[in-house]
Amino acid sequence: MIRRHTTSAIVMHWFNAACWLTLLGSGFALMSNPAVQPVGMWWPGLWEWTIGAGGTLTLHIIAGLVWLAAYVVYLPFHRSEALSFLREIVDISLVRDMSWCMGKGLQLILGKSKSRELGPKFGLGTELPPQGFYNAGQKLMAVAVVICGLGLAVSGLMLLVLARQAGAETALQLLLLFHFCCAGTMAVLVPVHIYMAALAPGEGPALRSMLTGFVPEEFARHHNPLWYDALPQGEPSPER
Amino acid sequence: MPKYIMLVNSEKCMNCKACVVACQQRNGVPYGHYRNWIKETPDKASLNGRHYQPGACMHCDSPLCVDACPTRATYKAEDGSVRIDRERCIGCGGCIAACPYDARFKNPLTGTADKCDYCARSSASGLPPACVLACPTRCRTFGDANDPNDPVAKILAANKAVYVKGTGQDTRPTLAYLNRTLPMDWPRRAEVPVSLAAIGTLSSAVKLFGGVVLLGLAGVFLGNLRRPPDPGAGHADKGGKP
Amino acid sequence: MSTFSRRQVLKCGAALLAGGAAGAWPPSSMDADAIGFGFERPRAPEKVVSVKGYCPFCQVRCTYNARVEDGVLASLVGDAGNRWTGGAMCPKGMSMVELVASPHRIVHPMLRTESGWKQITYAEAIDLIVARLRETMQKHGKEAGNRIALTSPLWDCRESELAALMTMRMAGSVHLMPAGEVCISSASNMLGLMLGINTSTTTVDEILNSETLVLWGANINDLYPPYTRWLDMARDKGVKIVYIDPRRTRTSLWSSMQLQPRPGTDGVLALGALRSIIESGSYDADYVAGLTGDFDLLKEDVASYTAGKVAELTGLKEEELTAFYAVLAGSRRTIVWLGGALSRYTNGIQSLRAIIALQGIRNNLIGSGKGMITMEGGKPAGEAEFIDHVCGPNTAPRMNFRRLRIAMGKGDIAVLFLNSSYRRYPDSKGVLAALGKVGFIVHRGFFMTEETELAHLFVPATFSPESQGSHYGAEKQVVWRDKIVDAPGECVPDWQFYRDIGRKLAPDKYPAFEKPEDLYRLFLDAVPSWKGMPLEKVRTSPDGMIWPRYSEDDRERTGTSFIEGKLLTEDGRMSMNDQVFGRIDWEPPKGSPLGKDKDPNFPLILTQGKVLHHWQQTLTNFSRGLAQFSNGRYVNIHPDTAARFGLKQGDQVLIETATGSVEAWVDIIDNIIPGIIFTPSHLTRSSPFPENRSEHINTILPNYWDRISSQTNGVGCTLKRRG
Repeated sequence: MIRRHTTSAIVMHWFNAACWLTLLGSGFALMSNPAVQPVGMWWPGLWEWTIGAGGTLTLHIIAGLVWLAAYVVYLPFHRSEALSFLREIVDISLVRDMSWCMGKGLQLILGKSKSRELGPKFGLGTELPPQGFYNAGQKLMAVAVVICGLGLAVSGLMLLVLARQAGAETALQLLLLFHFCCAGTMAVLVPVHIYMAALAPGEGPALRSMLTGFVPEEFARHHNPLWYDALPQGEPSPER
Repeated sequence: MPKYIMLVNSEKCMNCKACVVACQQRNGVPYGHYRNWIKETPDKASLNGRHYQPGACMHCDSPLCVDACPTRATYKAEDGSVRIDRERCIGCGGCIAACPYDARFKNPLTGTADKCDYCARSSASGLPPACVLACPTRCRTFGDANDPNDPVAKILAANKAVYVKGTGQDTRPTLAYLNRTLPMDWPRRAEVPVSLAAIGTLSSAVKLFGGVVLLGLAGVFLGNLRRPPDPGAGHADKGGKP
Repeated sequence: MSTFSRRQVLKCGAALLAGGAAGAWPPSSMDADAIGFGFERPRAPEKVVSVKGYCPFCQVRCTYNARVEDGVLASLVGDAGNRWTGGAMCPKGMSMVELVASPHRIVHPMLRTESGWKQITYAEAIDLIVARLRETMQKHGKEAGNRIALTSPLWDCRESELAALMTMRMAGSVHLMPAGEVCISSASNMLGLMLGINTSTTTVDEILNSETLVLWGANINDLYPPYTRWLDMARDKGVKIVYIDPRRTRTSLWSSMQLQPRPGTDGVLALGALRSIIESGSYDADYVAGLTGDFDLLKEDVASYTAGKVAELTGLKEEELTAFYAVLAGSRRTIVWLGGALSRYTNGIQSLRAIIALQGIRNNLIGSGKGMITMEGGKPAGEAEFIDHVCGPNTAPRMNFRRLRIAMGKGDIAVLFLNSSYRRYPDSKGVLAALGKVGFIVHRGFFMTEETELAHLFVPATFSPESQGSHYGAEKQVVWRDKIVDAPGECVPDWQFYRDIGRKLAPDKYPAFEKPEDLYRLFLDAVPSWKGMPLEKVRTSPDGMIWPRYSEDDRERTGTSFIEGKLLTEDGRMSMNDQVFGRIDWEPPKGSPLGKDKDPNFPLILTQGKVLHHWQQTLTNFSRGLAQFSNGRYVNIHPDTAARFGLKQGDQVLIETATGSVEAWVDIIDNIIPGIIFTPSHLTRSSPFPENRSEHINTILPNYWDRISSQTNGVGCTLKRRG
């Protein structure tokens, strides 16, 4: 077994997951005017029935503040971890990452054997290009998370603060639009991430590593060969 | 179901502002902010050269403010009034911009939109709205238009109801002036703010893309169940979770 | 390590979500009054109580039910059961909600020392005052009383006034200046002189039984907004409402005819009307013979007031006069509402006498739908009776403010209780100089005002909701107010303040009452005309009980005061040739551009008065709610006047009289006649709100008096552009 995630990274991942789901769910429930409701009127109905409309707003604000507070506590103590995370996710090689994404997409739609046959016809190899610590899809997701997360945090805080400001209505409306832009983007991406991580066949070890911190060596060699190859021999657990 | 309306005989108004202060006090509205008002207009027919027009939220039957509110904090209640659920209000001010009558304002104490709600807070104790009660000349009558025995029904039957509307825009106000009032042309053309309207469009896009993604994933998931496991399943593939 | 299944992960997520939701419980929707956003969750008040009270300001005496939410005065709701107000209230009265909680209030006694104000306790303040009074009494013996004085009003309650009167008497003094004495007492004095009753001779509901109502200088709607409902009902009933005022005001809206005479020419108008009525024989000769023995004198006195002369002096058109005279001559039942304005000119006494005579000649004094109404007065009698009963009979004459001012100027006043604003008196700069020579000034007030600035000792008072007591209104109705909220700091009500002094000065004689209720009952025991108004009945009635009531079975007296069908003068007749005031005549007001003593430098006629959002100088100027509608010191002029002086809307000017000048901004309106100005009386330099801030008007008004009160209107002035 190889150490893939530190305990703090695991905790932050699941903490994030809970916050994002809560915020996305409650946030969409707040938009209960049918003209702007992105899910269906049953969704705000469900939330109002369980914790009430006021409760939904309160929960949304509390969850947002708790989420931010956690980062305020986490970041100063884990600066290097955060920085290396940022380095990894922006370590993008356009050709390799794009062909990985397209190949993976093909695999998802056609299944592995078919895509091996058809891959070359689309200008792709029979195998996906080898990936580093994160694969191209994970990087794409992570970049979106960072950008939208920052956008949501800043606009969310401003919405909270400016609400009491006289004459800030136009700014508030623009912020609301921006807040929803970020949230809407994430609403499209999060299901893909969840599927790929939790439901796609063969991903059990990766999912389990997000709980235990370790992946089987064999799994790493196959999934993240560039990372695996860069690992110093016999060193089981780099601090990541 | 009652339909509450306000009737105003503006020819009996002398601009004493009792209604304004009574409203502020009854509803805890900070001074300098107003749920109701009195407009003063030069009027040759008046014995002191002025016509005074008391006003407040018109409790429209086609309220644009309700359309503008993303959270349904503003809604048309069953009793005919347009109400604000302060719990839902996020203070975005969309409704304020969307009211042709400028009947709404941001309450600096609560951070939420505020306007006339027929004194809902104190009506439980059986009190009529503060403006109605404080008026020395009984300019205002408040009541249930659906009840034939209610004073408003009788006054409506005996007088011509005049509604103040903007040009080219009819939000179907329910506050009626009796017989004659001035000014008539003051409501401004109001619209749902662009950024809030854009949220609606964006929301449809999210619905569409989100739907496609979810359907796609469901398809893939089902496809995987149907397909026999790949020869290299397990750790053979070099993919991973995105 | 690989023991977690997919399902477990989902479960875990659900648990986290549920945990988050639980943290936000209870949702704010549980709370009917919650403000969800921003987590302000003001609890719905646990306890809402309704306490009865009344507005302490004007004589309408609106009664209300105060809504007290968890001990905080939240709002005042006019008592709909009050037949006089119908539940209306004006913004002035409602300002009480704000004033009791004002951050500008001073809530501890303060003593002036060489190094500035020093906070002292209430007990120390009382001891200081008592020591000063004793010192004066020892030093001056029997004469001490003339060295101690009090200027009211207290804006509190009758019991406070009684307590103050008794305290003054214990100190040997009878010099308590009543509230309206300085500016509006001519009317009540003339009514007393000619009709034997120094208040309204009927109640306001009687205007519904009249054919004609003449609002003579009575701007009801601006001054007493809740009473507008009576004009409204009268108009609906077809009563002809004639309004006489140089300005078109809110009151104009309810009138069917308005005359805009030059300020100070009301007497001419009345004399002209008398002449016209006598000429046309529109009177009952037998009745007039029974009413007065002076009819022939009157005929002589009015003979020269032809329509031409009246038109020339008043500036009215002859057609207007003819129409007005015709209304008066044709009306079978006329009520005249005397405005305070009539008392504001040095010729006011004569104007009032002419108007009262006019009502008499037309047989409009006795009976339903007839009489005189004035908002200045209405005080039920019995006070002197009670004070004499407690303190022994008094024969010493009482000073008016004119004499007090002279005494102060000579340094003859050792202790002055300054309760009201000194700025209410004309030539207030002179008054201030005189006050500077007073040995010890005790000021009872609320805020840091011009009065506080000159006091030696400041003792904070309570606002009316902070203690209980009775009061009276224009219809002679006696009402009761309960205590609504506790007073902050060491603010005490006047009845307590004067009682504490009185009890120390004369522990044997001064009644040992605990609370106003005790004093009310003592009063009832001593004064027969109050016997039928027990406290509990007054307290529970929505509009109190009407004085007099000799027993509980006594019928309620509304309508005419002349229930025996004759005037209440000694002989039941009206004199038009008075020992003091002579025959009825007219001359222009002193200092007026209309008179012989006119000064060409001051060609405009100055009028000043109360506006809707002010009640006197000291209280309502400290209300933010009222400041919302205030516009600072403006000066209304007609467009012609503006053109004559080269002034534009909004120009900054000085209003200048022979005595001084104040800053103002020009507001041009055509509701005022040319050649005159109007500016509000009651702005205050010390107001925290710029909208209410201005030097007070009495700095530029001369010290003119008639035999009764001071006159401040009608003098010449000019406008000078600043900068």
